[in-house]
Amino acid sequence: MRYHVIADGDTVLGFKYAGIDGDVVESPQQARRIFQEVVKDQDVGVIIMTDRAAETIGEEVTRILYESRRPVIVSIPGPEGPSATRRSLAELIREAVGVKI
Amino acid sequence: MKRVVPTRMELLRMRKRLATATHGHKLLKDKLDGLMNEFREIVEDYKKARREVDEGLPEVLKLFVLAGITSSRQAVETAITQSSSSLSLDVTQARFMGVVVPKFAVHFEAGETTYSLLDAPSELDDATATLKEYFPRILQLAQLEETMRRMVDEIERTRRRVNALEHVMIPELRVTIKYISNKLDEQERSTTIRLMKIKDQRVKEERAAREAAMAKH
Repeated sequence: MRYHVIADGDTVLGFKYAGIDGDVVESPQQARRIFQEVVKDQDVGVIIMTDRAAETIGEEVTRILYESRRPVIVSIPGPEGPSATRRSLAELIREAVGVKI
Repeated sequence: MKRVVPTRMELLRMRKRLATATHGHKLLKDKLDGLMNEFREIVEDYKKARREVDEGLPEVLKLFVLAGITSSRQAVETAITQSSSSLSLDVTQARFMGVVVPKFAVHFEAGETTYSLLDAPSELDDATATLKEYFPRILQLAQLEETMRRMVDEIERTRRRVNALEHVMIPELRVTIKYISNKLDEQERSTTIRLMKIKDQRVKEERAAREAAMAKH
């Protein structure tokens, strides 16, 4: 299986050097289109998205995360650092299980 | 409460069901405890991995921003088109406590520096090497997140079943058993009384018959 990066230009550049393919996204529409395409690709096992890219299409990302077993989506901080508004997994877990982490 | 026929058979059947439900409840509760313990450990691992990536990765990515500025656009683009995917991903599945979780493994394939060293600035090499070091950590993060997500589902499901048994099924069975045994007791009492009455009557009749016979003599 493959990985795919969806992020800003610098991040995609970096990952390309490391040998991981990716797409640069600059607008939510573009992000949505690319995201849907990548999700459809059966060979993609993990999608790596920067916080900023993931936030622009938050709903779609959440839907895939919870309704589909593949691909796994992981958000990473971009060059600008972790996003303050990232909806953390910790919150979701507190809601669902009542465990504070 | 459902309509039940108050018979001894039914009572035995209900008692058996109660025993099964109680046993099942205990088993599920143990499973839930086990899941929660396991979950707490995974949460700890996750927090650590998340912190590492959140703190370290932006610094690495900044190096690329820098490289993008300092080197010519041409060189960067050539480098990108020349570098092919040298990492592949193996996904296997593991199970614990009835939960299927993914396990990822990274493969670095040969021919790592696919871009021309002459065109690319040397900072890029360092940045690339550091990013590659980070990559397994990002993957571990993905794996932990997915594991947590699947475990949360299983925990919820198990908890619902434990609660259903504890608060609905077991109490209902208890009420039914009580109802049947009360009914049976009542039937027994009324049977005894009927028998006593019949006996009384028969004794009376016999006495009357005897007295009548004595009067004849």
